[in-house]
Amino acid sequence: MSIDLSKPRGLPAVPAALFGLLAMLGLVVFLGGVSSSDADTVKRTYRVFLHNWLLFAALSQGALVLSAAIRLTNGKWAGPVHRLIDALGAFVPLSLVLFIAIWAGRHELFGWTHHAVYGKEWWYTESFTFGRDFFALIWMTFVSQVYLYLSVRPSLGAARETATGWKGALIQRWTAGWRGEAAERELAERRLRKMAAVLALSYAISYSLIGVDMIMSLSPHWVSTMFPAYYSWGGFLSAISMTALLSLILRNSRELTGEVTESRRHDLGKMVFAFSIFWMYLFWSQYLVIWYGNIPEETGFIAARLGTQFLQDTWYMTGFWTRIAEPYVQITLTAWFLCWVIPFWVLLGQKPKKTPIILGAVASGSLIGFWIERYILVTPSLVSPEQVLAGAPVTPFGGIELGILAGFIGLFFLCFLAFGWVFPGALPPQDA
Amino acid sequence: MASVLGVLKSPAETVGVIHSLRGAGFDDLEVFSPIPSHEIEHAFNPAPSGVRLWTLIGGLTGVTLGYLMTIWMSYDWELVIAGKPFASIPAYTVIAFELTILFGGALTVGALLVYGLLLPKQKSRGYRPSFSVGDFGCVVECQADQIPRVQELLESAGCSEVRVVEG
Amino acid sequence: MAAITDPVPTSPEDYNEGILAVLAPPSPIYVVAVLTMMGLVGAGAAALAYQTYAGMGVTGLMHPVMWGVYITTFVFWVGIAHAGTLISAILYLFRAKWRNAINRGAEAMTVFSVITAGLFPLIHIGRLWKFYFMLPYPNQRGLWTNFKSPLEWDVFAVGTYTIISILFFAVGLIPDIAAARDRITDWRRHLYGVLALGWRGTAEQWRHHSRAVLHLSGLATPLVLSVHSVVSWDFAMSLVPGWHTTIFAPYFVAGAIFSGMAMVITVLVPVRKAFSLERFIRAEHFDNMGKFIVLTSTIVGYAYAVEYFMAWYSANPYEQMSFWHRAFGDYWWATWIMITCNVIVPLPLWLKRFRLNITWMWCTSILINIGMWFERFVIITTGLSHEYDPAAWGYYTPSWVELTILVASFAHFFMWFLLFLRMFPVIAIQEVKEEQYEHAEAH
Repeated sequence: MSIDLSKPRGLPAVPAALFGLLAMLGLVVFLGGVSSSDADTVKRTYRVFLHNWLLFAALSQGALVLSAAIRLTNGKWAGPVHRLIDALGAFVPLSLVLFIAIWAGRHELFGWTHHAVYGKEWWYTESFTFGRDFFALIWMTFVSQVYLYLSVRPSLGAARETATGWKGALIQRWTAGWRGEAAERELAERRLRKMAAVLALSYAISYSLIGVDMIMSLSPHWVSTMFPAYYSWGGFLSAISMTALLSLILRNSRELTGEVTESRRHDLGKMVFAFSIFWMYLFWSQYLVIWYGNIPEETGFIAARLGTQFLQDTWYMTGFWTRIAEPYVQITLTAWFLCWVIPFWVLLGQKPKKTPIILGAVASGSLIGFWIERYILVTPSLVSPEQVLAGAPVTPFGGIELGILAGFIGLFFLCFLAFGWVFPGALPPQDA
Repeated sequence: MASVLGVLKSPAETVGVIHSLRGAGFDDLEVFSPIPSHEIEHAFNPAPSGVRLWTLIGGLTGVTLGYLMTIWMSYDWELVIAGKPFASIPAYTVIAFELTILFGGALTVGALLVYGLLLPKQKSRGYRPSFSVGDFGCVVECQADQIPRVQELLESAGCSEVRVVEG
Repeated sequence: MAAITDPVPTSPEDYNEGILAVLAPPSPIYVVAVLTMMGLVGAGAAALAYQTYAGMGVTGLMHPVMWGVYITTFVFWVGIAHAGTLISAILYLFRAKWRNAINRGAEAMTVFSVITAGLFPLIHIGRLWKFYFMLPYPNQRGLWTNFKSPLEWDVFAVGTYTIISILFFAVGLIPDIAAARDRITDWRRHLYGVLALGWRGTAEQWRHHSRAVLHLSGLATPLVLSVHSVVSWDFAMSLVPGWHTTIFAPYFVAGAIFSGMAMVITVLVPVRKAFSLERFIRAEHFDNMGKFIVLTSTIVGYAYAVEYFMAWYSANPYEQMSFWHRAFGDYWWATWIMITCNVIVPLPLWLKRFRLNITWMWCTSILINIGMWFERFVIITTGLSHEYDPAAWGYYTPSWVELTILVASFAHFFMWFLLFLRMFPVIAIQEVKEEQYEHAEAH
C-alpha cells in the first residue's frame, strides 16, 4: 500500500479541538488551584500535577525507549506501528517545560525544602536537586530530538518538494543536504542504532534519578534499591499499553489501514502481557524483601499504601474487610488489578490478544492503572494515612485530579497530532 | 487395503499433495517431515493439541498443592518463626509458584508422551531414514483398486518418487 | 557494516551430515580431555571424602564467615544455567531465529551446570547423609521443614529447575535422536532407537511436540526469573548489610544471564573449531551473543552503581561501612576484579568489530566468568566478614579442600559436556534446518 506522502496531512479538526479544550480545562483548573487562598488546595493541585507529570513524562520517554529497543533488536514486527511509537515521543520537550511547574511548587511538595534531611543534606537542596533534574531532562530532550530527527528525516523526501509556509521551512531545514531517499534511509538506520543505545542508556540513568528525586524524596528516609528501576520500567510498560491502544483506535486511519493485522495485534498483546508480568515481578521482588526484612525504615512506604496488614498478612484471620478499608488500600489494589491481574488473566490465551475490543480494553485499563499507580506513589507520602483518617480527602477522582488529568491528556495528544501533522510522512508504513 | 508412498522435497509441495488427496476423497494420510511445519499442520486443520489441557491441569494442581502443603504443615506443628504468621502467604507463594511450574511442565511432557508417542497407531509403514534428513513423505491408505488413481495424484502433485509400500 | 562471510549449509543433507559427524568415534585428544576431567573430579571427590571424614574444620569456614567458596560456587553454577533457558525458552517465545544454532549446546550446559550447582549445598552441609532434612518430611517429633526459609525455597526452586530443564532438553532432543538413529550404524543405533521413543516425524507427532515446546517455554521463562531471584533472596531476606537490598532479584537474574552467555561462548568457540561447525555457528551468532553480553553487563553495572548510591543514600552507617569495606577493605582486590571484568572488559563489545572477532569474544567471555565468580564471592564474603559488631569481624581464606572442590566443579561440568558432545547432536538439527526451507521458500 502506498500513500501520497507529499500531500500535507490536515490537522484533524474534531480531535484537535477536543484535546485543545481539554488542555485549556487543565490549565484553568491548575491556575485556579495554585492561586487558591486555601493552602490545602494549592498543595493538592501541585501534588496532582506531579503525579500526572510522572506518568506522562515517563510514558512519552518510555515510548522512545520502546522504539529504540525495537530498532536494536531488529524487530520487524512493529512495521508502521513503529512510527506511531515515535509520535508518542513528541511530548518529551513539553514534559521538560512542564517540569517548571513542579519547580514552582517545590515548597508545597518537598519537605526537604524546609528541613534538611539527615545524611542527605547536600543531596536534597533546591539548587542541586532541581539543577541535576533539569539537566537530566534537557539531556533527554536533546537526545530524543536527535533520535526523532534521524527517524523522521528519510520520510520527508516527498514533502520537502511540496510543503509550504512554516511547515515547509521546517521540513526544508530538517532535510538540509538531502542525499536521496535510499541513501538517507541507510545512513539514518546506521546512526539511529547508535542513538537508540544512547537513548536507552540515558533513560535508565535519567529516569532513575527522577524516580529518586521526585518520588523517593517525598518520604526521604525510605530506601529501596529497586525503586528507581521500578519507576522507569513503569514508564516503558505504560508506553507499550498506549501503543497497543492507539494502534487499535487508529487501525482504520489513513496510515494504518490494513496494517494492524491479526499477527500484529497478537504481537502487541504479547508485549502487554509479557511486560506486565515483568512489572509484577519487579514489584513483587521489592515487596517480598521488605515484607521479610520488616525494618521500619523500609516498611513505612509500603504500609502507607497497602495498609498494615500486608506486612504481616494476618488479614485472613483478623478481618479482611476492616483491613481493606484502611486508607489507600483499595486504591492501591485497584492499580494492581488493572496493571497486572487483568492483563495477565485476560491475555493468557491467544484469542483475546488478537481481539481488538479485548486488547484495547485491557490496554486502556492498564493505562488507567498506571495513572492510579502514580497517584499512589505520590499521595500517601504527602497525605499520610493518619491524616486521611483525620479527614483529609484522598479521592483520586476529585475535580482537581480529573481536571489536571484532562489537561495532560489534551497536551499529550495535541503533541501527538501535531507530530503527524507537521511531518506528513511520519505515520505511513515506511519501515514495512 | 494398500498403502502408497510419495516422496517430496519441501513443505509447500507436501501441502499441495495433502490438499489434492483430501480433495479427491483420500483422508487416511500419514505425513512424515524432517522439520515441524505450520503449513502442513494447517493443511490437516486439526483440533488444538490435547497437551494444552494438561499443562493447565498440572499448573492448577501445583499451585493448589503448594499452598495446601505449606499451610497445612505450618499448622500441623505450630511454631512462630521470625514473628511471621504460621501461614505466611508471601513466603509460601514462592513454593506454590515453583510447584505450579513443576507440575505444569511434568504433565506437559507426560501428555506429549501419551498423545504424540504412545497413543498414535504406529503407522511407520513406508518410513525411511531420509525422512529425518530432508525428504517429506506422504503415505496414503486406499483400496487396492484405487492404487493407480493415488499414484497418478501423487505424481501430478510433484512427488519425486511414488511407490506402493503394501498391498 | 562489517561483512559476515561465514558460509551457510547448502542442503538438508549438509545439516545432518555436518552435525552428526561430531558423533563419530573420538580422537585421542578427546579421550585425554575426558580422562583429565575425570581425574580432577576424582580429586574433588577425594577432597570431599576427606572433608566428610574429618569434618568441616578442614575448610576455611569459621565464624563470622560461614558461607564461603561453596555457596559462591553454588550461585555461580546456578547462574551459568540461566543462559540455556534464556536461549531455549525466552528467545523461542520472541521468535529470535538465531538462537537455533546455539540452543542445544546451551540447554545441555543448563542441565550440567544445574547438576553441578546442586552438589554444593550437599557439600556445604557437611553431613551428606542428612540431605533429606531439606525435603518436606516430618522429623521424629512431627516437625516439618521451615517453608519461611529462603533456603527451603531454594530446594524447591533448584529442584524444579533441574527437573524442568532436563525435561525441556529431552523433549527437544527426541527428533534429533531419531535423526541419529537413522544415520549411525554402530552399536549406538539401538540406544538411539530406544531413546527416540518411536519418533517418525509424523504431522501428528510434530503437532503435539510443537505445542509441548511452546508450553515448556512459557513455563520455563518465569521459572528462570524465579530461580535466580530465589537464590538472591537467600541473601536479601536476611538483615546482613550489603545483602538486604530490594534490587537483588533482577540484578542476580541479569548477572546470571550475563555469566551464562559468557560460558556459552567459552564452550562453543573451541567446540566450533574442533568439530568444524563454522557453517552452523556463524559470526552472526557471536554478534548476537555479544549484544546480550553488552546489555546484561550494563544492567549489572547499573545495579552496582545503584547499590553503592543507595548505601550512601540510606544514611545507615552499617550499610555505608559495608560498602566502604567492599571497595577499600580487606577484599578490595576481589571487588575490583569483579568491577573490571564485569563492567569494563565488556565495553569494547559495544562495537560490532569486537563482537565479530571470535578470539576477542572468547577471551572476554573467560574474563567475565572470572568476574562473575568473584561477584558472588564479594557479596557473600564481604557481607559476612563485616557485620554490625566490629568485635565479630573476621577474614576468610579458603582452604585447599575448598579450592580442590572448586576446580573439580569445573571439571565436573566439562566432563559431562564432553560426554554429551559424543552422545547427542550438539546443534538442534531440526531447528537449524528450518532456516534451510525458509530460505528455499523465499526464492
